Amino acid sequence: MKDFIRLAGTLCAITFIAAALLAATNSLTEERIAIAAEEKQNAAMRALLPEAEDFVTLKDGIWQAESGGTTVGYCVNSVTKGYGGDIELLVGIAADGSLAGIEVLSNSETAGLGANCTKDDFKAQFGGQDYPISVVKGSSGGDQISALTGATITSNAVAKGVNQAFEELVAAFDEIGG
Amino acid sequence: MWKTFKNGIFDENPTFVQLIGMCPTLAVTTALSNGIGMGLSATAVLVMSNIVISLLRRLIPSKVRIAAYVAIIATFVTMIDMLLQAYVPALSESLGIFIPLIVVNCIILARAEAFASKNGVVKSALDGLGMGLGFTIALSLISAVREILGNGTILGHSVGISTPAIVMILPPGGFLTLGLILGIINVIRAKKGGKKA
Amino acid sequence: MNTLTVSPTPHARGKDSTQDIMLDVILALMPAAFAGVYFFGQRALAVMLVSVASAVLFELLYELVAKRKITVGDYSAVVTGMLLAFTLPSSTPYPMVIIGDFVAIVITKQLFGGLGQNFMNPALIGRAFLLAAFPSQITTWPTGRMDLFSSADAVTAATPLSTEYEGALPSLFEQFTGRMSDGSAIGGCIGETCAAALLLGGIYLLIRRVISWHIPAAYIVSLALISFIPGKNPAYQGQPLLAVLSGGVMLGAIFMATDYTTSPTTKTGKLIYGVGCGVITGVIRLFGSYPEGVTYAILLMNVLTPLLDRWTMPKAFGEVKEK
Repeated sequence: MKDFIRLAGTLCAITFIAAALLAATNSLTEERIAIAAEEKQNAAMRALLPEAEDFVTLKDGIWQAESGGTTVGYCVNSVTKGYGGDIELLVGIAADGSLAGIEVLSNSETAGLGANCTKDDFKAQFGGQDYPISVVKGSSGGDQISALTGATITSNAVAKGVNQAFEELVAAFDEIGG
Repeated sequence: MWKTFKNGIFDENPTFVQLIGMCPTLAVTTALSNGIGMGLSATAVLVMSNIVISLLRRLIPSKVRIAAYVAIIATFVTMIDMLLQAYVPALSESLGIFIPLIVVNCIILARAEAFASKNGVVKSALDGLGMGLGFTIALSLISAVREILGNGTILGHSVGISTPAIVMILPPGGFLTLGLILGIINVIRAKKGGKKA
Repeated sequence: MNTLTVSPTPHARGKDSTQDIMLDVILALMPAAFAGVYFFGQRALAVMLVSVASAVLFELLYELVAKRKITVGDYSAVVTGMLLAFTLPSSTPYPMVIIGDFVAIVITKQLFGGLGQNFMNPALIGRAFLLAAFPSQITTWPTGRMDLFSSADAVTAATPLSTEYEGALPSLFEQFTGRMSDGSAIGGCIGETCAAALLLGGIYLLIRRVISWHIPAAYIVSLALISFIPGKNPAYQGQPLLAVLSGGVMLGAIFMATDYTTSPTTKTGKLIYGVGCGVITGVIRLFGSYPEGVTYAILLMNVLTPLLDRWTMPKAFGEVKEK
């Protein structure tokens, strides 16, 4: 019994100190982690809609970009299922309803193939497109996105995520009656 | 003292000689920056956990020592994870799940059990530093080879390979690179020492 | 007085050397090589020559560096080089061919101890490596002849096995000869397009007893049966002959799966091995994300070969099963 108390007591003391240390670290870093995440989100949104001055949250995952009191566009967070897991996208939509651009926030696609969806060549194709987006293999023509070599599934997933973002934005308008 | 430090880098290099900690070795070494980041993070955890475990080695009853070690290691790993997220978010993102997984990296538990629980604080710290640097060097070597061949870059700078072999940054490339480097090291050791490593 | 020579069995030895067998295989590969050059032009020939030359060179270099016995005279490296070239499209850039030969000869064969020691087929590992390393270059199939120095502007097509293939499936005769009625070739690797030429080589090897019928027959029959199962490519369902004549099946079944080192030695083992190759090929074709599965099917069965040999080894006379 005495042994039991000694064992439990030691472990308890160690975990107590550990918990205290973790709590201290957490309070130290919590704010910065939140700021870093927000900065990342804002930087991505600013890259998509450079003329925007301010981003107002419409609802969770949808932002309205404003400049001098007028609406210049919207940013929508969209999650889509790729080849290796979820792909998290940020979709910029201009005020006239065309696609301003996309940013891939996170992905777990195959390195060298699907992960190329983060490359500028691929993302640049989305600028100026209209809903709905579709993907073709081979050379890109006009209103279509040319798929990444060897990563058709990823390309389709990104296109689907972009279309989804449009739909979410429309649904949000219906909801708030905008 | 010097020997304790050198031991981890050469004679008992955790990756190339002891062949432990293979999961992060194979998984994160797709780019040199990841290899270095993982190696240094593990080194930091290793040094701190070795110091603390060495300090507490007379206080921790042997029956619960593994549980105690795991709690100590997990604490340091979580702290490092939070600090990385706060101050180097880019690195934290590219290392992803592998930072939390340092907890189960057997190098750290192995050093706690085999060295820190039997030796003094200074020696344990040096052992942790040596082992950690050995791990870092190994990871850097593997990830440099894989990044050059598989992505045509080194630390993000192009090295002039127009069509890199994608397979080298995929899982099979990890096994191939590790195997070939191990082979080369064993040939060198066999030549130098005259006997099998 | 003569002393009595006592030696362990076998006392009767065949006179076939490795060299003879390899020469037979090279001869058997010739019809398909000619077909490849006929369909894909000078560049196909160049890919084959580059591949053979670099395979032999890598073997020689490794053996010199490692101070091993020089074995390039047994022609096994020539066969590996040819087989690797056969599994590549004629438009494969030359540096990639050389990398494939390096992986095949140095990594797969020599590092594991040389001829007879490798546990997987070197040529197929070379191809599998290239496929994983350069997926787009290795899956672009020219359908016509190419000159030596043009590498980009050939007309290309998806293999008919692919779900992205457009147009009507080749007829049985077109698939058998590899020549479409409009004069172009069926999109594919250098050596796999003309099933007729491969069969000719296969018959020669059977007559010369270099290979036995068990593996190719088991492979082809099991794949033919699997073609009745519905899969991702409905056009091929219920077309057993088309299924076995298309893609790399003939090349794989006759020349790759029968490699001595990496296939079982017992008859039962060979049959199981062949069926395994057929089933895996079929499953990859029906449900996998690759259009063709011959490479991986044979490689996976290569790995099982030691086990198959152990399971099917006949019991020696008087041997009692261990308890």
